[in-house]
Amino acid sequence: MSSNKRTGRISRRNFIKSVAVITGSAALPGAALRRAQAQPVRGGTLRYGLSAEPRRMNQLNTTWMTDATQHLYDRLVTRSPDGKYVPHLAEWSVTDDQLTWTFKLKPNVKFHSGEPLTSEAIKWWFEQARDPKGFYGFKGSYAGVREITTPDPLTTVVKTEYPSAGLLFILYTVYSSIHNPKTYDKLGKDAYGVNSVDGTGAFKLKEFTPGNRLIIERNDDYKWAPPFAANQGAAYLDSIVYRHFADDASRTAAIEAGDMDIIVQPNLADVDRLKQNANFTVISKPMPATRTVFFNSEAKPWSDKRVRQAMAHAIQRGPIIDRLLFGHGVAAHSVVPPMFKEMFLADTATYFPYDIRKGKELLAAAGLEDKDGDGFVEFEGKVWEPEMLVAAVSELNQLAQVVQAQAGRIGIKIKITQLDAESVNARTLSGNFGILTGFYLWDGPDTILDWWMHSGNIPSTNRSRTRDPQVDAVIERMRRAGTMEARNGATLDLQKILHGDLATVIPVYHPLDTYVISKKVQGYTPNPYTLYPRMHDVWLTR
Amino acid sequence: MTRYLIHRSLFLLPMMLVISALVFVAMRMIPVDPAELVVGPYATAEQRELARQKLGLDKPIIAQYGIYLLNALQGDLGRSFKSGKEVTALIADTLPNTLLLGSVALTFAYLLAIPMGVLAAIRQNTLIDQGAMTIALIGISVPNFWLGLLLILTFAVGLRWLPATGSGTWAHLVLPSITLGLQYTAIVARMTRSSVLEVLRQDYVRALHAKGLERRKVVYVHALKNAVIPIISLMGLHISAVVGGSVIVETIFAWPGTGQLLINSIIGRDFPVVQAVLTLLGATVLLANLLADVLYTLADPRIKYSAHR
Repeated sequence: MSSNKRTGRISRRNFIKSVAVITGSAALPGAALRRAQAQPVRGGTLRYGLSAEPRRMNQLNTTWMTDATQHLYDRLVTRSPDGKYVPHLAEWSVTDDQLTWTFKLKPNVKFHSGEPLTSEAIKWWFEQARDPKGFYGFKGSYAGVREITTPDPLTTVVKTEYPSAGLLFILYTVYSSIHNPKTYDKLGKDAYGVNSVDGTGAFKLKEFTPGNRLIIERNDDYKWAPPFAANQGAAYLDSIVYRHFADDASRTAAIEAGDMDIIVQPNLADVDRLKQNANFTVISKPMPATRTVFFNSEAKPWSDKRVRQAMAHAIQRGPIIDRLLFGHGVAAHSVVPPMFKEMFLADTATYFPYDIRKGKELLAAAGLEDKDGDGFVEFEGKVWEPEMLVAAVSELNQLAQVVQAQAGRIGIKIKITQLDAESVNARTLSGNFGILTGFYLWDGPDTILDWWMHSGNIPSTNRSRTRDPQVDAVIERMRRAGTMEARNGATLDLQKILHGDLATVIPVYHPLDTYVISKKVQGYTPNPYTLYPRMHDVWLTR
Repeated sequence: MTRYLIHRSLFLLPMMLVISALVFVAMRMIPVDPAELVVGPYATAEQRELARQKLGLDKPIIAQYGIYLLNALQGDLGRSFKSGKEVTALIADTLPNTLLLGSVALTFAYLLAIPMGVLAAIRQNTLIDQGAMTIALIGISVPNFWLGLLLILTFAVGLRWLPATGSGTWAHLVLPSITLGLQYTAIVARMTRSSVLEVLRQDYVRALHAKGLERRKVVYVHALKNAVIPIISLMGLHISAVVGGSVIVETIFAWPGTGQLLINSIIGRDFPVVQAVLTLLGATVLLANLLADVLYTLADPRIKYSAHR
């Protein structure tokens, strides 16, 4: 057995450099450096304004977690600010054949209830995650797990059917948080994660009142922070109060009025004004997300890849970023955001550049021409007016309108149908659509490519209904990759096929996660690779 | 009166049944699979089917409604898909806040509107009348989402006199109450004005003046008592409207009431919660109308109810 142990410290300078390169943000390095000079103080309550309502804090019963979950639980593996997988609750090693994983737990880790964390809890978690009768939404990621044994209280050995480097990703996510099985079983899966949780995280659940607030308080026993945290002991903050604001303007007003200390996603139109306000620091970090134009590859004439490629040539990203997002986005040419450096294919920017002439040529080659001179192409003897679905979300709706106008430049007369998100979901599931504006938010873009493109995932997750033997073969290679290097290689190949040829998805932009932070909040450093920020190093000035 | 109340209360039960059935059927007509909300978009078909069985969605809709009704009668409205909390607990947490906000808003509205309406009526066609009616017009015309933000920007962000959002102290109540109450102020003021004007033209008022009664006594003791009758019926409507209509105000001010619970549950397709809150709103309308009828009899002794009406 070869040992492949990781350690994961990263200097603040390297982190700042990596984020600044990605975002081009001038505000972040200044803010972070200012904070580096201050001395942390213990105590205080951080008031945190959320854009999404908190949900139950049990990943076995929900597919949408809340920020607090990050702090209530820990995971076996975590991800450093430069995107590397590093040990958290456990060091790991894997055999040369990549089929046997050994997780060695840190000693003296305790749950909030005071019980020690042992390998039995890890075994329990793996069993829950792969339970065929469970509702766990990411069961597929544990499909290769064959056997779990616990030779001693700190060691868990996991044997897999095939090599799976992707296991590290799912183990790092908040969806692989570690629970105390005894508390879980005592409360039952419906009640657990609602009023009580029993994790090992740096904060304990104090109160959850949906529609009002979620309060977490410091776990004073905490001594097992992730390796990249500056503070290796208990958190500085006494507690964090999360409140949800459905309205962007109200959330923005709340921090301006002094009701909140941090808010996420302010009104985009207010961001520049807030940056001028000396009371706040505004940080925009890349979000592991992509807004896209998405096709049903079985709906005529979108089924002809030349038509989809023509649309790809029609998309002009600059005005979308500048005018729709007020500059708070990054042009996307791949489903994979550029921050995932090792799996991002930079060449995608050159595949289908904005080119109206080429777009029209491709449409003509596919038999779609403007014969009556009205400016729009005909299909089956009449003007082609494809329906574009859009969920009733203002950002997607605005994107749809821009895409509609840009498609008009190559002669496609798009008709927009706005529906509620679930109706869009139902229609895409049944294949009753041709084109839509969509998005994903997930910190594993390689997994997205698997979900969206493998023919075995039709119709549930492969809504574009892509059926391509070459794609399937590459995804199989990705799934069974024993190393991250091999998995990343397959991800690069997939982007080449998807964005260079099939064009069943046209990436448009990667949004930014924007935080407005009161000057009294210190030590906050965003991690672009995680969905939820960490609060372990955060403290408040008096 | 007692017989009437018993009769009306008995009538409420079938009405509640109809409302709950309509809400239940409407929720099932939405083209959304609640099972998918439980297992998420990346679940397998097998997982979806398991979730459907767990939620009882594999049964005929009549059976589903029967189970729902049976559980509801035992106080079990199910659990929220999103938070996992019992729906009854969610309503118990939020309804008092909505009632508090609503009652303060209506008290503010009526305390302001009735004197304003009376003043406008007795000073008809003067600057006072025009000023009061202009305020009323603004109150009706200004959308409360805009007014709310304006008040926040002025009194919370600018002057820092009051908190912008949240709950917990009397100060948190001020801005949402004004925002919610102002539209009712406008309606009640206009109604009061026209009602007082109508009463002031009655023969008995002329007779009171002829008897040499002080004008203030004529207006406030005799005329207003009769003018207030239509306003009471309006109050019944306002009580139900304020519970249902606080959705926007609660959202702007992040006020933890049923309005915000409803809107968040609709956005999150949290069916058990939406179903319960909509049924509750239906019940509020019925109860508010009953209350208005009772108040009507107290204000106007000529009105007598009987169980056989």
